[in-house]
Amino acid sequence: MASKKTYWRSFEELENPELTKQLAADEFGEDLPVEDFLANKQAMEGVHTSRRDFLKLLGFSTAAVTLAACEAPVVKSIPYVVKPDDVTPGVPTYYASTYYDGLDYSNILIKTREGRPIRIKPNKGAKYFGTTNTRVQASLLSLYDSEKLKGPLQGHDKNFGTISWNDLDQKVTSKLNAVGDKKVVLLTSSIASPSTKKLIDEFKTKYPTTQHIVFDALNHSAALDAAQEFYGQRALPFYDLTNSELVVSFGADFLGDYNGGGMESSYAVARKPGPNMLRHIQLESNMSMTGSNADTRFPMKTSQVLKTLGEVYKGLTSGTSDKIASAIVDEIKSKGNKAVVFADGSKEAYQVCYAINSLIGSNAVSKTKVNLLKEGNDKDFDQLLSDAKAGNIGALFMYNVNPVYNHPKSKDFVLALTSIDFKVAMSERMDETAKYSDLVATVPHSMESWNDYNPVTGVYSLQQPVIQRIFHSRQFQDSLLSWMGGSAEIEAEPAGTGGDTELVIPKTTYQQSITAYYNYLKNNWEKNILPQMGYGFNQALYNGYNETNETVDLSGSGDVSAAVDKLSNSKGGEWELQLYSSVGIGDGTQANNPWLQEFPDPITRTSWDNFITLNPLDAPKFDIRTSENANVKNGRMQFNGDYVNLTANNQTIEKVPVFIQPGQAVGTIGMAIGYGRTRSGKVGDGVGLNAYPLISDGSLFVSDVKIERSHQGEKHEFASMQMQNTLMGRYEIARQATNDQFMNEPAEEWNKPSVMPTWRGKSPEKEVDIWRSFDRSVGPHFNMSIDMNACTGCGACVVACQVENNIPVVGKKEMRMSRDMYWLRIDRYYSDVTNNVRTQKVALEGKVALPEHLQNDETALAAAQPMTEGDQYKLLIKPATENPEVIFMPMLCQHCNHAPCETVCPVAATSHGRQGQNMMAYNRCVGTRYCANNCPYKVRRFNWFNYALNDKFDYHMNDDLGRMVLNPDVVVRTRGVMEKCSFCIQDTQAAILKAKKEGRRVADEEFQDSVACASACPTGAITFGDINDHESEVKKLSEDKRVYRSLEEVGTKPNVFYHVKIKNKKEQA
Amino acid sequence: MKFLNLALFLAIFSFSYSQDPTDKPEPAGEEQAQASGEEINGDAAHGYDLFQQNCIACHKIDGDMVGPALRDVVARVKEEGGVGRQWLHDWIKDNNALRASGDKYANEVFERYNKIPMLTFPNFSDQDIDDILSYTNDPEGGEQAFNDAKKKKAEESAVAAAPADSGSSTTGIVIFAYVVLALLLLFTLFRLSALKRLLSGKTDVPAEDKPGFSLAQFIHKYNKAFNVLLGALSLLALYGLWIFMFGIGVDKGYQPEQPIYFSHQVHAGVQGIDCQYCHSSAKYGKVSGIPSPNTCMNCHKMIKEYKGDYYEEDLVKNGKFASGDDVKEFYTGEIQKMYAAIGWDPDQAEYTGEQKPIEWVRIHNMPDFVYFSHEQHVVAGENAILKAIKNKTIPNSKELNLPENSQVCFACHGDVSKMDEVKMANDFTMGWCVECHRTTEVDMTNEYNSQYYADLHEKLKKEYGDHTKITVDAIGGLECAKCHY
Repeated sequence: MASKKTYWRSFEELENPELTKQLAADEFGEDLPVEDFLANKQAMEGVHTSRRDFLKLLGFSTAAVTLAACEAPVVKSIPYVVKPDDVTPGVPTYYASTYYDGLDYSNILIKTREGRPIRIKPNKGAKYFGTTNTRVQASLLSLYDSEKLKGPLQGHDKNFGTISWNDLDQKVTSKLNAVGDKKVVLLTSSIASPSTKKLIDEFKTKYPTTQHIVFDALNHSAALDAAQEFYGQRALPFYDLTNSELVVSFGADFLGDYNGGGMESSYAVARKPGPNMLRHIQLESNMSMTGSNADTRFPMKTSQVLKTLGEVYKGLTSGTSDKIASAIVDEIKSKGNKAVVFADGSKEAYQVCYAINSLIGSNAVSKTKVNLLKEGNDKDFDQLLSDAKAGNIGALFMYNVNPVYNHPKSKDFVLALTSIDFKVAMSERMDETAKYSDLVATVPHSMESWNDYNPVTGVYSLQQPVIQRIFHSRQFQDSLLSWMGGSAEIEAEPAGTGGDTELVIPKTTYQQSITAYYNYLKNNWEKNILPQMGYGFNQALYNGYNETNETVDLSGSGDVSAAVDKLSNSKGGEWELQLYSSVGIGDGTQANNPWLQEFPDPITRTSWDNFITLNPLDAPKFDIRTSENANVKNGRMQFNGDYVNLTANNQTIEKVPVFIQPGQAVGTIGMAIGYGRTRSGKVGDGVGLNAYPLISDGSLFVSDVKIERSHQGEKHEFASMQMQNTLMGRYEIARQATNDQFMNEPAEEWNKPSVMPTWRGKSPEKEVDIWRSFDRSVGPHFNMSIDMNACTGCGACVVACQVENNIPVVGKKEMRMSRDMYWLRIDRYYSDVTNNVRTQKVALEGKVALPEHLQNDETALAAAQPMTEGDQYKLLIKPATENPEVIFMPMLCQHCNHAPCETVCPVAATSHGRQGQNMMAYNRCVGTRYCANNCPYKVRRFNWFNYALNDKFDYHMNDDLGRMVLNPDVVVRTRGVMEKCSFCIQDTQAAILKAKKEGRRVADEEFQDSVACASACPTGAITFGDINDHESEVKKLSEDKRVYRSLEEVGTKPNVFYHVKIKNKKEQA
Repeated sequence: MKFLNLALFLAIFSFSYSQDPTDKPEPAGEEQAQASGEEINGDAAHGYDLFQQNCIACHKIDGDMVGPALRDVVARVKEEGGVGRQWLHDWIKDNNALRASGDKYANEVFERYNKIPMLTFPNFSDQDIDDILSYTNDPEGGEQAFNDAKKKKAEESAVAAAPADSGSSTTGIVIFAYVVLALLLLFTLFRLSALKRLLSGKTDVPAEDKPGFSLAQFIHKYNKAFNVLLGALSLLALYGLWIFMFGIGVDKGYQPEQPIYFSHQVHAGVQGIDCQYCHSSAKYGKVSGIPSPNTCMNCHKMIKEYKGDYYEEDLVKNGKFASGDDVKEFYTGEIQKMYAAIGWDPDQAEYTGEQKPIEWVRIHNMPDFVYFSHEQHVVAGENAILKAIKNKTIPNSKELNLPENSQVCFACHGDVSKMDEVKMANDFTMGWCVECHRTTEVDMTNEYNSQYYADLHEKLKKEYGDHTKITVDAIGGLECAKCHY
């Protein structure tokens, strides 16, 4: 393929050509310091263990272990007294439900075993939001967090003691009745639930001074205000990219949390290579996940992005002189209504974005539906602060909000809290805000609660509890009902429901109170929602996702000239900061979830950290030398970072680590929010730094920040994935081509089959083999197809794999030692064409590599030394660091038919199955690790510790509650064994068994859905199936001209194949 | 010397481990004594039998249950409704028709007993009904007559089942031989050590002066023999160790005491209940499932006491109980334990709401790294396994000695219908699993197998010859990750 391209994984590797050699030499860890030790006489004499002692201990321990093994323990087995109808031991039950925590919304299926949820799958029956992202996948572990509150609490001066629900209710109601003229404030995150909203309205009727204020940590207030002004309604537009051919994003992370998320599936559909392939242009300052998927990416300061947006509007209406803007305008004009524009950054940006879309009549913007997920309003919150100051608030109820942590005016809010004398927190845990409250009405996890949602016009979904209440908690709505003294809406539960009435245990008041909202909700549905659908509540609950014919009219248009002027005049500072919500942690709500903390960021590949990102060209300005940053000592190449102090918005954050990020716009820095929690729990506390205080005016863009180098001499230790080991020059591992090549050139040109020199001359790799070929003709034979073009790098598959296969969390220290346990990782490769004309010219003239601002300085040039070879190399790659291309490549065990790992195992613990799986028998493995050494894909992970039951790995797997998340069909591996992807053999075998029982072939969909990564992928990039089934999807995909196999030249004959990534742009890739 | 003791110990230990206690001969469980019918009054004994089979689910002799008490029912209907034998015949045969015909008394009875319609018994002959009615007139007499007839029958068949009981006597002989051998060895050891002590007492005397016995010389003299003996002993010790190590984790014969003395022989054997009636999860999932007490209540709501003929004679023989009746009473007591667990008051016939789970002792414990699926074997593989039982190709088939019409479960669990308390009937080692997978033929009538493996037989024939069969290993039944993940 394109030989002019260079692929690399990190800037350091590219900058220092020696590094690869060094890494290759050190690839297999440190040598034992045997010789040093033996040569050191003192050390030798200092040792008192004699050979005899050693043998004695050895003998004793062997005997002790043998004896201990003789005694078989007595195991008790306790059946249900009365077996529930929907629980059969060993058989999973699925429930359709919904996940919404104020940030992420998904229609999901919850897999439960023996009454406990163990997996979240996307509800593929849902037309919208039927996908899951990383955080929704991982939310399962948040359910089993033992640090959550166990019941209601009352507090005094931040000391909390228990209280009964009855006493709490009494205190609250007596306060509510005595509040008089003062305001009762309900401060919540976005609700999006029709029944809850109705309930809140009833609450307002009962207590007329009530005000409901909505605040979201990841603020959409500006977008909503803009919509109010432009469309005349305070709701986000609803986008569907399926039929779009051009998307221009002005700093909008629309594959992430922009506009409530959920756009990746329609994006992937539209990105199908061919004449109608969606073209993606991104203008941004940070290298975001969305930007890394773009065909053309302009790294620029956010102020510049906003300016360009203004110019594009001008270009579309009158005319513009801006080069980039006019180029974009041309593209938009040529696509007409098949183009769409997204913008982020300020209210004006949103207004202009809405205006452009309305101007071109973009078909991606729904004219009849709006997105109802976000409701936050900054003005209301500001009013709360001033009301509190004035002493107008009698009682404050906070549900699912944590402003003390995540509001930029956190300090003002703390002051406000101290001036309100009755505060009730409805929270899952004793978080930063709850500790200021007087009463904590503990709420359960969403998987323990009833609720309904209306995420988009005409879409109604239900959320149902799938596990018995773990703690003595009560959901927000039940509490409201209790404090209202019930609702007339609730019909009394008819006596004697359920089958065997004699066996029903009498309910306590508590149990009655936690079913109140269910009755309320059911009643509301039966009266107001179900009549539009024409079926009953049970059917709606079974579906989880329901649609009606409701529509809205989104045709309004406002005047945006003022906004355009404001954008055109946006001023940036010398240094601009763009905050972002990371793919794993998001807004920080689930900070105590170790799966999310350990999840490596798609771009930086770091885990357990936040930091500022800085372009390599900017680094010298702070005397940060990138070449020193790579910690290559142990061959693992884990980065070290320098520290700076960051000042913005009159707040200074000290000791912020700096991460050198290619593609970061020059003059800008990026930083993730959601870190630096102090009261989230043992996992999330103290990880990273809190960036929320830097937010000004509700925008994540901070136009002027100050950076100062600090803590000289100290180094921050980053822990990242994929940096270990080397590519050994195999840079063609991830292939890409342009859409033009794909359509017009023969596949051999851009997807060259690898050839092998033989005595007959060069033969295609397929035909050369030193092994007897593997016979796969009978029975099913599994193959997996991975479309790198559809993969956005979101990592939902990574967490899904972790959940399904009981993969442990290892923590930052172990991550830094490259002992991560992921069976599936998404490798990120940077690439660019290195023959940039300008730099080549400078290099050939033999001048030294000078910083850009000095290149025209004659004195500096004259004083400069002639270039060494290394300097030239550095200079040649310079443009790439400004704006490299990114490829995401999901990497998992390739299940090679001729697996190198199988032949080297001394105990035959890994072997090949007839169905194409490379099998790993853990109990047979003795841990020689030969297989890992011999694996060209580096997908075998060695289990160094007993992660379960080990208090050193305090990530929920060491306590009884946390272990409830484990999949009972997959063994928890012990230390000292090698583990790796099994193609989810537990689920493929289950699918086969089902077919066997019913005496039929396995349907293609059954296999497709049985591997965790494929079923979790929101863009359909991963397809799994039986290659011997000629009707199967994977068989069809295997015949595509984009197909290639990773490292085919090694001759491993993998059962996983990839599809070349296609970039939709003109120039040669 | 320690070595010798160890070897001996190991030898005995391993022997006792590998020996299987042979099943005791079963008392002939012939039921249903045939009684010849009398013409006029009816045979109360046969009536008792019919009553036990058809009526006790809803009726008792004394006291109402679902339906009324039946003692002296003939007299009672006469008194209450002024009806007689013919009415009772009509009612029992088809009470619905009787009520439909507008019979006043019939509808009255129906109303009185909560409008629960009685089952119809159109297949009862008039004689049968007379038998039942005469039993209700004299319940005690009927039961007595029935039992007498049965006892007689049992005595007759017991004569035929007299022989056997040889298994345990051979065990006895072998153990006796071992004991003798051990005593002999101990005696030799004692003698040798006495000699040695004697020798060491005279160490001050120079050896060459002493014409007496010297162990060193003795050993020197028979050097070769001693070396051979030592070699043999160490080999024996190694063999013992080998056997011992292979026995670790193998609990064949494990028969723990359970919290409730639940007799599988009574339920699966005498009553002939299908294993999967109670262990219903076996056909849906990987575990067979221990039935929860509400499953027991399907029958035991009615069956409050043990009234069967069978009882475990061993319990009387070994002196635990004085008589068969005591054993039966003990069985009845165990039913009450189950009632206590689910919170059922048998006297008031209602649930109390006080529940207490039963902690059974698990007999078959698979290690975590083994995935064994019951549904795979009892549903998908049922035909194949039943065939293997029939053809006696299952491992250990001689010892298991399964009957022709075995349930599929018996292939691994042994003939549970003959066990009172269940015990582990097989090794449950991987070798044992693999052995069965190597010999059991795949059921090619299953559409899954016939579609996916249509060409397999031809292939195997080419490779291994015409007589090759498709056994489980040929379709991947020996692949590691099929059971280990």
